Amino acid sequence: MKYTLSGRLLRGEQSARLLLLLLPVLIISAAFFLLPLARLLVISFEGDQWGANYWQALTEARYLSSLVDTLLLSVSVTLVTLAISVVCGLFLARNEFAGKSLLVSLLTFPLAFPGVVIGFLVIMLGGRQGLSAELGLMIDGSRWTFAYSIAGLFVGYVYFSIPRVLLTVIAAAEKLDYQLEEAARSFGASRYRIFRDVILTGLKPALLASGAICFATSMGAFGTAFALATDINVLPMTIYTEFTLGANIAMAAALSILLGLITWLVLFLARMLSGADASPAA
Amino acid sequence: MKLDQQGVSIRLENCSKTFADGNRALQPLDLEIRAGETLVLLGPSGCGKTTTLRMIAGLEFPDEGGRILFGDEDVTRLPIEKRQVGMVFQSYALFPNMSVAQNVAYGLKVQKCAKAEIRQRVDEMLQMMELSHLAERKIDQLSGGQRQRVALARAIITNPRVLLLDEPLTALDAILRDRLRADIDRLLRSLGITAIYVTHDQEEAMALGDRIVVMDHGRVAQIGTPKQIYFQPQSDFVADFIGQINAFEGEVRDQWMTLPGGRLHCPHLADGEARVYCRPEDIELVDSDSVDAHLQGVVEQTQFVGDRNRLWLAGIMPRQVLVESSGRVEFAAGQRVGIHVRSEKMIALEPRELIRSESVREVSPC
Repeated sequence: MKYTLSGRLLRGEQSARLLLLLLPVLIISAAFFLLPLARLLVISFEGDQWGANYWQALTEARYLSSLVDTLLLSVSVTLVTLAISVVCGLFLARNEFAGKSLLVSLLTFPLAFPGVVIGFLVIMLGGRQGLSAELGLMIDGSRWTFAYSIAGLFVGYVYFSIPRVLLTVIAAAEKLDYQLEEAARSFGASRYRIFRDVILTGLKPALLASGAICFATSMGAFGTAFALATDINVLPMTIYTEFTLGANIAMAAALSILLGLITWLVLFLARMLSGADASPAA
Repeated sequence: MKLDQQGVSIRLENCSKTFADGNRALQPLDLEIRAGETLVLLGPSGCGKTTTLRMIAGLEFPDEGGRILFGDEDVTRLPIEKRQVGMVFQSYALFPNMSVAQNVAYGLKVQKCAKAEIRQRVDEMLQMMELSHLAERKIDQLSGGQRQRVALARAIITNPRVLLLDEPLTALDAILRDRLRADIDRLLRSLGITAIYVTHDQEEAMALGDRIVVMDHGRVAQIGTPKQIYFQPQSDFVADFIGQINAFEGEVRDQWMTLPGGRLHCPHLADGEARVYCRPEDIELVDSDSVDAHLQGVVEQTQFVGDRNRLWLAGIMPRQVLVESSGRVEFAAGQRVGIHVRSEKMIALEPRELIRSESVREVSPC
């Protein structure tokens, strides 16, 4: 009895010490995350009616289209990035060639760029003086531009999302059990079937994790949109406009909360769905 | 349960394998495997046994000039998908995202069998392998032995023409290995399937194989039944690799070999330098003052392993001589004993073999 009592005491002491160690991180997250978030939440409900800002955000065409556009953009950026990275990552993990490490480091280069620089690169490519405009002039006499629209944003986001996903995919692909593929092949499974049943299944945890980061980054990215500016109507831009130009702080707050909630919800659903898909027998 | 399709005979003709890096893993090899036979490829790592298995599987292809035949069909250039082989891997290679039943059903599903037929055959197979109660389990909820049984069930359910097993028991502990070895043996016999089994464990090889192919450095060292391999090794390497063995080396004159610990009666040997082998269990221990005690030594170390004593004797040869006796007789370190070796129990190698295998060993030590 005495033993268990002292043991419990010891455990009590230990948890007190653990709490002490956790204190800095608790203070920081409270000061810079929880408190501002709570304040944001309070602000978002300011106005004549309870929840009016949210209602407005979800019903008024301007806000709603911004929300839907951002969501569609992020989902498509994530899917395209995953597709490119799976192909590229599998190739890089399975083939050895001269200059491979140089290529990998080049592919991961955009990690170092801020969003503004990415936007700048997109303008160089698809802007009025960009490469594609020159090409268009040569071919049909008109400047082909896409940089200042959501297409430009899409290109930029895919560009800077690839390294984040690619590195994870390469690491996961290197750990895939080759014998699983050989086992599937022994039954005469087609390459598509092996890709679906063995490779994709093996890569799934890595794709989920890196896809989540890719999606969340696309939802919240601001710098690139800001650099391309003009008629791009993504949520971070809308929030910025409401906050600085419109001085509609309550609306900006409500949109911020919505942005966070929607991102979280999509990631949660993706995780749920893929989890259910993984164990149909259970 | 008998398989619908009996195993085929397999022939390898002049099959060598050189990898892209120029390393020759396998010297030209001719091998014939009878229908329904269990053939074991045995050897240390890097001896070419796995390469041979993978060539038969269709995961590797022989160098130019090699041919592989399943029955009368030339499958040399067919990839594994088209060869109808069943494979069991060392790591089991079970699909982690599928249940036991789904794993077993996979081959039939790929081959587009009807749903009802799949269900029935999977049920039968699970029952035969005593896995029915685990049908819905995930792979990570199974023990090593259960995984092995699932892997076997998955490999044989599609009625393959040949079953290929790549060190299937290596990842298991000793007791389980013994039990599964017996299970696999019974299964292979009852199926009557042609099976090729790769292992580096000589006990496993002898327990399972109708015939054993001992391989060394990409060459076949010897092909034979387990008894032939054990009692009539044809080379130094085989004698040494299979079981434990003592080598006696010395000058023979008038049927007697002179050794540091006395002399050895070798009526079958001509005069000159010679080497003979003898298994530890074939050496008789006698009193040191007996007339049969042709050789005398001192017990240096003893090991009691239950059914027998293992004694290491010094003073007979520069190297220790290992002798086995009944577990009930007491021996103490430092005790003087005599040994007697009957000439019919000795294994003599042709001098040619001796030189060949030694020179191989010097060039590339294992």
